[in-house]
Amino acid sequence: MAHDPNVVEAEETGPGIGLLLLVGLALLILATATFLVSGLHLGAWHTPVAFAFAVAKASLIILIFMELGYHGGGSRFVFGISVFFVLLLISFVVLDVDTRFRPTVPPGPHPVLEGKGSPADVYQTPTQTTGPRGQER
Amino acid sequence: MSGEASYRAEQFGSYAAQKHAARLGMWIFIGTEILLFGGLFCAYAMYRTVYPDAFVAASRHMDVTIGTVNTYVLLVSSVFVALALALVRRERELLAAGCLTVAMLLGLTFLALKGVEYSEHARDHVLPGVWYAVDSPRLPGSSLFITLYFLMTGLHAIHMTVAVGVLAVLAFRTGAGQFTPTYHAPLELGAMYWHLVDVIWVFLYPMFYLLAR
Repeated sequence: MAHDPNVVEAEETGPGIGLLLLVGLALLILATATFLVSGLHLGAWHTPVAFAFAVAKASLIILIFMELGYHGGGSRFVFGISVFFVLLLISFVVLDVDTRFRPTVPPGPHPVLEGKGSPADVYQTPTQTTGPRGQER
Repeated sequence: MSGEASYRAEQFGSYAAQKHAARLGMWIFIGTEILLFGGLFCAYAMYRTVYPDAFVAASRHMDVTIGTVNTYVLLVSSVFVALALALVRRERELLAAGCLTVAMLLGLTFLALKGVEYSEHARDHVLPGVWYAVDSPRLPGSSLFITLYFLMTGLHAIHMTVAVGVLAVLAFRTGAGQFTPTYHAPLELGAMYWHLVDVIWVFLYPMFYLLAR
């Protein structure tokens, strides 16, 4: 029998309700863990750990809730390419800035000192009232 | 053969091909959204590299309680949207409409909390660009953090507002019985948009709220 394009093929069911509830619970647990772990003193690992938690949550949402794990290769390719180019952009920009000769980076990192007389105070509130040649501003 | 034949557009060889095209088109749109926010994430990454201490100091102005509650609100709303799609596939349209309504209300809750947060910032003069007028911290880069915060969360809030509108329409159409286990493409695509907005917030939350903890 020839294929009738008006006959709808068997509908795929996607993720079951049990799986959706399980993933939802996992998301709430990961969100709680994100908050609790952020309070720990992880030093340089603070950002990578936070990012890892975010990627884990995003992966669950994208693969299960958005059903990318159930869709065809074209959708996965489009999504993967988008993420790849964003990561490429961010990586090279950060690499550029992070490896520059420090004095060429606009006013670099200051120590977190505040109040009168601190470097930050002087920077923000210039007190000079005369120009370099002694003229009034 | 049911009424689903009327949903097949003339240019498609089969309804399955039409559905595949719809999904691919939605993923392409999601790709553009990723690139849109990607530029802002890049700006954040760059300036955080340049002003790490100022960013941490400025993040102390963030209301972590509201940010965390909003995170839970969005995650729970995503669960309800996903459940709605599964219920429509199982011919439980009324229950699905209820789930979409709950998700929509959670979305409105998110926006309300965001409004409260913004008003707190305005009261404390924690504002973007030249309107940044707080006594502490006054470091190079602090106002940049706040500017990026308003830019990114503001853009996210605009997307959220659109998504709430989309959910409202979908809830109405689902309740009216316009979707079936076979035909529910608008619901599927609208749900994908809602989840995208949630995914974006999942990254915004630690970037802005958890820096100083």
